[in-house]
Amino acid sequence: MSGRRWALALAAVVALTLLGALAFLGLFPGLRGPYANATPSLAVAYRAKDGCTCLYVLRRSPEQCRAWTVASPDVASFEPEAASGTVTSRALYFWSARARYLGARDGCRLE
Amino acid sequence: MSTLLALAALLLSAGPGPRQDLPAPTACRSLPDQPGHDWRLLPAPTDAVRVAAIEALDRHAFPARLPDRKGLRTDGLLVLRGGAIVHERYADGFDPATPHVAWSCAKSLTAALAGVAVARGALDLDASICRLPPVPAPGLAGIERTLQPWEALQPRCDLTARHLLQLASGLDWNETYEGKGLQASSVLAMLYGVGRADMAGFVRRHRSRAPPGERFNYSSGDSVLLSAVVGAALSPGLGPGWPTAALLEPLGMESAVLERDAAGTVVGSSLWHATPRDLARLGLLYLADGCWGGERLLPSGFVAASTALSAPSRAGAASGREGDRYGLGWWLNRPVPELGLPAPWAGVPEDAFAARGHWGQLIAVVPSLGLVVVRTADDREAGVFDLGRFLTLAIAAGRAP
Repeated sequence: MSGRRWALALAAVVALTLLGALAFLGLFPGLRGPYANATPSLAVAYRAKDGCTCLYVLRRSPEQCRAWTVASPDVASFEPEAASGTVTSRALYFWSARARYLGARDGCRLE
Repeated sequence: MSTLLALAALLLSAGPGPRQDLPAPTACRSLPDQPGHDWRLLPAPTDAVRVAAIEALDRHAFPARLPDRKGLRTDGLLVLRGGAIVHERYADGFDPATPHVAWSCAKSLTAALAGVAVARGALDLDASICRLPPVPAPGLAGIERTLQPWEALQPRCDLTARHLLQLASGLDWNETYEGKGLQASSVLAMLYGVGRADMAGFVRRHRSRAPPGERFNYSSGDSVLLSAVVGAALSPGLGPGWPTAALLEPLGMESAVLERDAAGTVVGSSLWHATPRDLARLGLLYLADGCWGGERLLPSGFVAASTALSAPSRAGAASGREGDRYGLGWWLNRPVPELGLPAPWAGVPEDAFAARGHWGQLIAVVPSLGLVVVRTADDREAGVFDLGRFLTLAIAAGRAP
């Protein structure tokens, strides 16, 4: 196979990988579905909100809540902050979400 | 803009608002062992058959935990007869005071709140939901391609609370959780995505797929919209804490937490948290035909209507969704004789009904045996929980000698 063909094949692989990554990140409008449900965006919101509820409503330990909110793919961080009653989650530099505990009757809500 | 004004005018003029002077619930009979703050605990059985039945239930519900969150993962188990505790067991780290997420069992609680609103004269199940105040217009930029732009939104005056209780709004809704189809999931977009700030507004922006009341389509969107409707009906009389005043406090559900979105709508599809004992109180209310402490909290006939197969569910059973038997906010064990379909939970009495939630949450009621069974769980492996088998074992452990 000539060097030119190798270059074309490599370019095709790179392009397909890039398209896949864009779809996963929700950055490619044609592939992101009806609701712009970008995977990392849902992942951080889920982990922030349900992590907050786990800590403050279900009153489980940070370690238990970290394990309870692991999702697949595991891209979102779990960062509880007891002083402010919040849980922040970040993924892949661009995405983050924070949920706050509002009180005994209302539980947690995403900010 | 003029369309928006016309819509607002239509919504405001569509009928009288909820009544402010709510009548007190009427009296009726309660369970023999209705719990107050404390519960009656029946003595542990001594006869060999009953002891073996309880052991069989525990062996089934609490197997050794498998790695990678596989297999049955029961966190709490409670079997009650006539309101008294027959059997109660918890996994390590859980006890009677540990609250648990109930997920979609919340739909049945929302249905009960609708019943309270009817009993108080604040809600007519068959009236248009347009009698209620309009939901605020959310800015959902970027998704107009698939959702209706707010300016073009129909007021949904053809929808009633009954349609929402039946999960038969006809809205184009896709209920998918983790795994396949995440991109198209309406429920994830509502709870964690673009719809999360104003969930009821998000639901109302979906296009119609079928006329209201025609087909059952399991939808957290319908339950959230119902929650907004019930809130609009009850909050003028009871204030912003209407779920507590209407039901949680009268039932003594001290541990209950109902979370809301930023618009103030109670997320009545999914975000109810309580101890297993407090979850059981909802089942006990329905076991007692809506009576609690000598008062009728749910209107006469409401429990019967809630546990009869709904017309949209019957229509669904006729068109290939034969496992989905639904009433008003509750899953049912009813057969469909005209279609030759047996009761779906083999071995369980046909009058049984249940609130069911993601990851195996359960509040089951068997009126003919006076039983309520609660299971809190963390089943992450799809299809691992067999409700018929579990309830058969729980009934053997709990039924009267």
